[in-house]
Amino acid sequence: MERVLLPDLIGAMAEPSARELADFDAVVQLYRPAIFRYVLASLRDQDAAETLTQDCFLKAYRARARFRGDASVKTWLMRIAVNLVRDHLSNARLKFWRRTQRSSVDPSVAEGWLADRRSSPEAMAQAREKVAAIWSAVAELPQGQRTVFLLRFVEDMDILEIAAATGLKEGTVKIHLFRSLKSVRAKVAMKESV
Amino acid sequence: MNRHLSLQQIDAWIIGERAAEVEGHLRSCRACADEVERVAGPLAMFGGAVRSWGQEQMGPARPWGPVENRNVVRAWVWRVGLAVATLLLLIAAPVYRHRQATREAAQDEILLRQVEREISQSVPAPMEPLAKLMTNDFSR
Repeated sequence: MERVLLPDLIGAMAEPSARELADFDAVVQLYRPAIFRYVLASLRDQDAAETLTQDCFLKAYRARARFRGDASVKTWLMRIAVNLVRDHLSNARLKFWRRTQRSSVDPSVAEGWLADRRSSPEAMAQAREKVAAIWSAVAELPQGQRTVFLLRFVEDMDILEIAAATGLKEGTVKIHLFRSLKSVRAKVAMKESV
Repeated sequence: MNRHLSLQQIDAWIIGERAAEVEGHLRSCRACADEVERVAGPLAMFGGAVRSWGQEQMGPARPWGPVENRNVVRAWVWRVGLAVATLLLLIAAPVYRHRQATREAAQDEILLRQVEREISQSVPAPMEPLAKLMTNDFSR
């Protein structure tokens, strides 16, 4: 049986991702929606989301030569976005409320965008209430928990991808996910009981 | 596994830890599968709602390229424009000169004919009626 050396295997896996970066316009077109919605869901500010998405691709473009391909392009871009959101929140903490009042989107509109519109009006109303409860519970999560929660349940990333995108250890990601899920569950249950 | 799944196991399943034991139990236990769905269902709806909302909120792509790249593109546009203008000038100048020469030649030709006609006349044009009158008087 032919032996496959690990570096060759990594090289073969890395190659398509690195090649993908050659056509950067296509990369922007493909991943812009995911980056934008992660930033938007994190900040709930459309202007800031557009600007940070732009910054994310600019940073990625400048750093593309250093991309080793040990993660997917999406994970790599998401890592840049996660760092940008973190920096933005720490830099703009004082300006946050002013920005929010001026240009933020109304978060309650998100609950209106339910994928399945074939359900009965009652089921739709219930679903809308649940989504609204989750939406407001997510807003109250600490930043680290909110980030992993959004990457898991909006971007459908698995634990390893989230670890790569956030730079956290796998165990830390799991702890954040367990805690965030527990908080969200509790807040949603509390709203249901009211 | 006969007992129902613990809350910890259900949460672990929902966050993406796929244990074969839990998967097997969920296939056979309706109550646990319903419990997972009770939590995972709204989370999936939440994800879908945020994705749709994000799509709706996203404006058209701004020019993302670095400033230096955009300047390079602009410089190339100017260079190509200048080259096209020079080329047009090089083609148009000889054509213009040729037309000018043709027009001048035609004007020269008209002038020459006019001079020839005037020279061939016996008397200047203003005196032609008098000359005719005199010719008539002598012929009588």
